[in-house]
Amino acid sequence: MTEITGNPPAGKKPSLILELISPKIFTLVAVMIAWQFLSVANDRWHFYNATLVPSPLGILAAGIDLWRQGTLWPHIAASCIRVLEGMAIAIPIGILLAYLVATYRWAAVIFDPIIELVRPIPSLALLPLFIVWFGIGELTKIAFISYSAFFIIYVATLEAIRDVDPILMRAAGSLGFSPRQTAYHVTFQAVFPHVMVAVRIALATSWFVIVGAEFLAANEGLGYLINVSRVWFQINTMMAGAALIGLLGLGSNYLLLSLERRLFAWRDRTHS
Amino acid sequence: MVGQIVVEQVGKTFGGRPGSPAFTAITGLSCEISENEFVCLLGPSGCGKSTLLGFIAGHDRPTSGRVSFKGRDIRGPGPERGMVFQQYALFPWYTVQKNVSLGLEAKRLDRARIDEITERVLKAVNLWEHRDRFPRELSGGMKQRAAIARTLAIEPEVMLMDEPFGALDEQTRERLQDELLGIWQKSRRTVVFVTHSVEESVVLADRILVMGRGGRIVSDMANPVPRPRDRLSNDFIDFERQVQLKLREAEQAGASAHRG
Repeated sequence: MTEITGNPPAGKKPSLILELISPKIFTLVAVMIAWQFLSVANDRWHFYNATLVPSPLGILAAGIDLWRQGTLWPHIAASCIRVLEGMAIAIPIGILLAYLVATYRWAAVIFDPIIELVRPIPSLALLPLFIVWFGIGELTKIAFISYSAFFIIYVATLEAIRDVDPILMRAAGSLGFSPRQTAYHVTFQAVFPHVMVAVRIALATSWFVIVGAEFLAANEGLGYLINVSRVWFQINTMMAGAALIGLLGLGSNYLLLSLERRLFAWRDRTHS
Repeated sequence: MVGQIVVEQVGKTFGGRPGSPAFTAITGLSCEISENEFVCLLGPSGCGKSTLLGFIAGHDRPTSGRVSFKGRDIRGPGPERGMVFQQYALFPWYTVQKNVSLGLEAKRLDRARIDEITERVLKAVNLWEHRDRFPRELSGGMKQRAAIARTLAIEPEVMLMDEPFGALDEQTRERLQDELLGIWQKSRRTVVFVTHSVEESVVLADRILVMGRGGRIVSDMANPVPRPRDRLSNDFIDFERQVQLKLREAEQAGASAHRG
């Protein structure tokens, strides 16, 4: 009945990030190679217009060109900073409001109907309004990202707080926890993993909306790069911009996933 | 002698929402439990025994009557009335050791004292070497021992146990019953233990309150079997049969009452 499950020896795992991506990276490499072969074949037999659909190496070359010209990094940095700033505002506000609404009747009465009314409106539909209100500076883009990410964090946190196992709350009461101890040791600990998942989803959404915002109101950033390349019909650069957003999204997702694995080890280690 | 826990004319009605008829779980239930007594609430599922335990724990309030502890009305949960749940209710994000020490941190003891008590209770339930494991890494029996250790650590005046061994296999259950008795005999305190197993109540209790459907106490039986109890002795089996008969009577009476 009480056999010992050997704890995994510490220090055996090389790197969590490596462990997460290593088998999957082959899929990406295989797709790229296949695409490159198709492009080479197309150069010879012309099944499609190669100007409209560049090859992976062509896209890579466009990216390297941008890098050499020194314009790539400012675009990446501009977009990344906007996303990070927007998330940094959305996360605490989303969590705080969810906590208030879940805990206090007055907060639910005041905030819940307003949030639920505004939430179904696609945030891109409000982008022109944001531009009218806040101009075309950084404020608009950061406010817009925060706005879009907020709902995801808020809804997930609220649901998670309401889903905390009531028996754990009872156990906390019978152990004599103060309200503060219960909030930290039970509610927060139970909700934290769900918030992390919401952060990952919100991050993906942020990349989604930042590009939209940069199409309309920016003079740097990856969205701007894509849009301005369209004007000059630089398909390679447009696709390089899109690929970079893909890579940044992928990278940030894996980073957060590996952080989750570290933080929530208690979920993965099971009795066998 | 006035009991440590006094239950007077308690009733509980659930529901009564539009469309669903109100359901009465308990009506006019009274009983007293004395200090250091080991009492089993025995009855079929749905008889209201867990509901009654919930009142004593302060997790739920009766719709009528009063429940008091040492002369004071119970208004909410508290560490003087520790609870052990059938579903263990360990905090899955903390190790066994942290689960046990949290209740002591709530008591604002100093670190050295917390560590000392945690070690003592974990050794008492044979979990000290597994202290760094998370609940998910434990078997059912180990989880329940951790939960018992967590409650023992805060030294409650009453231990409330809601079918704590109900989800465990036979062998584990018997072993944990013996371990629990060993601990109880070393440091006496009041135990209110809910079970639907006649054998379990005869092994453990000083006194068995047999409950029937509709939340009534049908019989209040003192356990005459001397400790340590042998599950195979004649005394044991005789008393077990008496309790079984009372339980059957209660169920039949309850069934006819429901039909009528």
